[in-house]
Order: sequence, then structure tokens, then C-alpha cells
Amino acid sequence: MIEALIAGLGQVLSWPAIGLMFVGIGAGFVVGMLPGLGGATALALMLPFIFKMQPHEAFAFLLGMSSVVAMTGEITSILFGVPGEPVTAAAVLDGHAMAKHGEAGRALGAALFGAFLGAVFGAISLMITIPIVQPLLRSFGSPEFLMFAVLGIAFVSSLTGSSPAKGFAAAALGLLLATVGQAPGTATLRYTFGQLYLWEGVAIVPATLGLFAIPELVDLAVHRTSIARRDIGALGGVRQGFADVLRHRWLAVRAVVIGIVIGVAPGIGGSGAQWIAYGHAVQSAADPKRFGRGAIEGVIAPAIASAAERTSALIPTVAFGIPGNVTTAVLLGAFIIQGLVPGREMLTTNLSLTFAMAWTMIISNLIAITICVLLVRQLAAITRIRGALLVPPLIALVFLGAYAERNTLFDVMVALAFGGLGLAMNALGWPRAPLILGLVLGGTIENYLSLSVNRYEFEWLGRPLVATLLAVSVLVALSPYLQSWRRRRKAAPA
Amino acid sequence: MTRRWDRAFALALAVVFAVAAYLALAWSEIARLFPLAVALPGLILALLAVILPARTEPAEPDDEELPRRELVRRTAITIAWILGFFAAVYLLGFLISIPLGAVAYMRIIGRERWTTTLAMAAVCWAFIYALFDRLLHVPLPTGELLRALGLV
Repeated sequence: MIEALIAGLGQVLSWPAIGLMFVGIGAGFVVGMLPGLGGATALALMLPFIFKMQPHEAFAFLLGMSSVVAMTGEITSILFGVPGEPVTAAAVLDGHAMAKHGEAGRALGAALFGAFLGAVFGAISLMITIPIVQPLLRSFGSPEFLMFAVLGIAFVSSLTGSSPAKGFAAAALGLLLATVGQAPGTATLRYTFGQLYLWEGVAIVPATLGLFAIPELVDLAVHRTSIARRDIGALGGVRQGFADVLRHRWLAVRAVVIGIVIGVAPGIGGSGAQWIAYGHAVQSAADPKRFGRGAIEGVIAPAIASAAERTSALIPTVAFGIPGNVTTAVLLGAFIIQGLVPGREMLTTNLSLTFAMAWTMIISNLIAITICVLLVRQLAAITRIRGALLVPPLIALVFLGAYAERNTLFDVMVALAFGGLGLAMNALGWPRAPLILGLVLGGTIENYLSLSVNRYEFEWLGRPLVATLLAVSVLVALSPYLQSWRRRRKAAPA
Repeated sequence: MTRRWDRAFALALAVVFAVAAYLALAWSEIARLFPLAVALPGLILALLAVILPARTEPAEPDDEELPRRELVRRTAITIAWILGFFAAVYLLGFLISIPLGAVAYMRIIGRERWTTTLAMAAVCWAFIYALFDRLLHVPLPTGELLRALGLV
């Protein structure tokens, strides 16, 4: 095993693999910062180039690209309030609020360092858990995966702000929107109103862009100032951001665990992971009211979870050929092109290649964070540019981001519709995070629910892990109210 | 005023959930199970949001708090600009409408100098053309108006 570990590192550092990894990192930088062009799209575009490469070269190139996407996506989310990737949308809430307060450098430092740690620990989990994960995952069926998604939706209770009814209604709207399109396992078309476009359902990318980016864009245009409205402190602050992550190390550890668990459980993906981690950060904070106004924990937890999810999603892909998210689903195509069969072979004869993948993710993230830190002052300086110069390029980015994934102007219309919804919710104090969490998890929950009922009827409710996860979900859902009740009881005079 | 709009929003949401539940009744049992399981609690929650007194959190303090009337006016203008950008993209395509819209916005709203405006518009065009058209081969729409006039 140690030999394979060293051989894997040697493969990554050999020429031309290392050169190809740098090319991949460069592409990942651009893709991550551009809204709409997700890691999966970029991977799909690059697949034709790997036919003539050796397997370790191909994965150095592809993973070098995809593993830095989550990190650089944070930059666009924090600086402009436009999610660079759907998996970095949570950074808009507190990261962009910090940028407005003149703390872009600190927010970037925390998000980048967090994303780096998440990616590294996700990759280490791949190295360590590969031998034990096979028997563990084999004991999971669709009911257990359903319960992981239900546990995710339970975190809505932490995202509801001061009005639980509004928060849960927003989550229900998200879940309802996730049912648009063809019903799983049937030919029934739901809420499509005769529109062919709606057969595929509501796309996450334009919905996220509209809900989060358009309200920020309108805010910038309305105030006619730069993004940073307050001039406090130096532009840097990146060291403080790093220190913040270390200061909140236990939150970081929990976010890593959330990311890894969600990465291993197929279906939920990075979008769900970041919101669940955000919900957990709110839930575990002493003063949850700071969130949404520039709480550093709201930047750290989602950045770590999203990056950890991205790297650990390789575990079920390598071990079983089950993709943990959309990116790894595309990556399965690379396995086929290279003539590799996921499963036992990747854990025995090709073990060094599996380790090479993990090493690629660690090294590429190390290179990416070094470049980002060198550029952070210049990046943060963007927040001082006059708003009138930023609004047109940002509108172009939102439109192109919504359009580029499926190449249809209908997606831009969806982004505009969600933009209107986001504006109204923002103005009236309705939380947006539960809506997007519902939209992200709705499809997964319904699919696994349908599979579970079809296969086991309702007997699956009695399975030990299902019952445990259900109990944990109820506790998570009730936790903010129990905490608030305990605080009130403590505060009340004896 | 905000409370009235808040109630109207919650009521609109309740209508959405009620209509969604009604439409779901026509589908097979498996197809309607999840939409009904979501829409019915959603309806109750939206109605609760209508009835319950709002506990609104104080808005984030802003250095340059605008008078409400001006805020609404500027928001309406910005929304009109965004919709105008979209109409331009639909009619003229991305490559023409984005630099054109950038020039219009920077001159009319930002009152920027011509040199800054033209330089920024050129950067926008070059970025979209080089990255999306040449490098990534994203099939950018050419614009319905240009197509109708036979110019593309």
C-alpha cells in the first residue's frame, strides 16, 4: 500500500503529467470563476483530448481542472455576489456581505484556505477509506440514501431566520419546483404546461444565478457605489481569513465530515453539501443572527464542505463506478475512454493510479491556493471599482452563465424569473437558502423514495440505519427551537 | 406597507401550493405522491405566514441609506435595464447586445467618459468572443431580429 502511495505521487510528478495538470489548473481557474460553466461541463468539453494520454496523465489533467473549480468559484461569489459555481452559492450570503463591508480579502482568505483544507482532507479520505468503503457502502440501499437526503433537508430549520413558517414554506416551494418535469418511473409530465423545455425540470444553474446574483446586481446598481461601500482596513486581510479558519477549527472539522459523508452518498452533491454545512454553522453558532450579514463561519463551513464533497465523491466512483455527483458522472466517461473498470481493479492492480488521483487533487489545490493568495490583493481591489463599470459585465456574466450550460435562452428567462423571486424574497425578509436547498435535494429525495417504496413498500422504515438517520433528522430539525427554548429558560429570572 | 406586501407574497405562495395540489390530483398515485406531500404542508405554512405576525429582523445598516421613494425608483430603473439587456440579447445576440448595452448603461447611468466606456465595451466583446465563441465553441444565439432581416 505504501509502495502504491509513493508510486502514485511519482506518476503525478512525472512529465508530461505535471505539465498537463498545470494546463488543467489554468482551465479550472477560468471555469470556476465564470458562472454557469460548471466543473462537469468543463470536464465534458475536455474529454476528447484524453484519448491519446496515459491514464495517469489524463486524470492529472482532468482532476487538476475539476478540483480547483470549487476554490476559484468562491472568488466570484464573494467579490460580485454572483455564484461562480452552484456549489459556491452559499458564499454569496456572508462572503459578499463581508466584501461590501470592505473585508473582501479576509473573506477570500477564509474561503480559499477552507476550500483547500476541504479538498485535501477529501483526498486523504479517498486514500484512507478505499479499503474499508466497499463493504460499508454495499450495506447501504436506496432507503439509507433517502435518509441522508432527508437529513440534509432537516437543516432547513437552521436557515429559516426569524420566521420558521416563511423558511419552511420557501423550502416546500423549492421541493415543489424540483417535481417539475417527468415523474420518476412513469411517463407523467408534471407542471410542464405543454412546454417541452420544462420536461427536463427546473435547471439548478439559472435558478441559483437568478436567486442570488440578480438581487446583488440590482443592489449594486441601485446604490451606484463600488461593491465595497465601507472603507475599513487593508485590502489584504487574507492572513486574518486563514487565522479565522484555524480559530474555527472544530467547525472546519465538522464541515469536512459533512462534505465527505455527502460525497460518498450519491445524489446530494456539492450544492446540498454547502447549504447543509451552512445550516450547521448557523445552528452551532452562539449568535445565529449574525449570519447573512458577514459571519465568517458562514464563509468557512460551506467552502470546506463543498471542496471535501467534490474530492470524496471520487470514493464511490472509483470503488463501484457509482458517481457521487455530476462531475464524477462525467469522469466515469474518462474511465471508459482509458479502458479502466471502476471497482476491484482500481483497488488492486491499479491502486497506484487511484492514489495518483488523490495526489493530483492535493497538489493542484496547493498550486491553486498559492496563485490565489498571490493575486488576492488585486482580486479584492475589484470591489473598489465604480459600480457603473461593473454592472454591464456582471449582467453579461449572469446571462452567459445561465445560457452556457444548456445553450438555450429559456435558461436566461428562468434566471430572470428567479431573480424577480429573489428580489421579492430579499425585500420582504423571506430566506432564499431553504428554497435552493429544497430545489437541490427534491429530485434526490423523490427518486430514492420512489425506489424504496417500489422495492420494499414501507418495510424499509424499520431498517436500523434508516430509523437512526430519521431520529437524527428530527433532532436536527428541532435543534434550533430546543436551543432557543433553553436560552430563554436560562435568561428567565429564577 | 411592507407587511401588506409580505402578506400578499405569502398569499400568492399559498395559491401556488393550492393549484399545484389540485393539478396533482389528476396524476397516477406514484406521480402525485411527492408533489402532494410537499404542496399540502406548503399550503399550510404559507397560510401561517399570512396569519402570523411578522417578526422581521432589522435590515443591515447601510452607509448610504436611500429614501424609500428613490430606492423604489432606482430598483425599477435597474430591472428595466436588465430586461432591456435581455431583449437586446434576444433580438441582436450576445456579441452585439452586450457591448452595445454596456455603452448605453455606462453613458446614461454611470455618466462615464467615452474613452472608459468604449474601452470597457471592447473588453466585454473581446472576452465573450474569445472565450465563449472561439475557445469553448458555445453556440451563441445570433439574434431573432438579425435572422428575420436575413443579416445572419
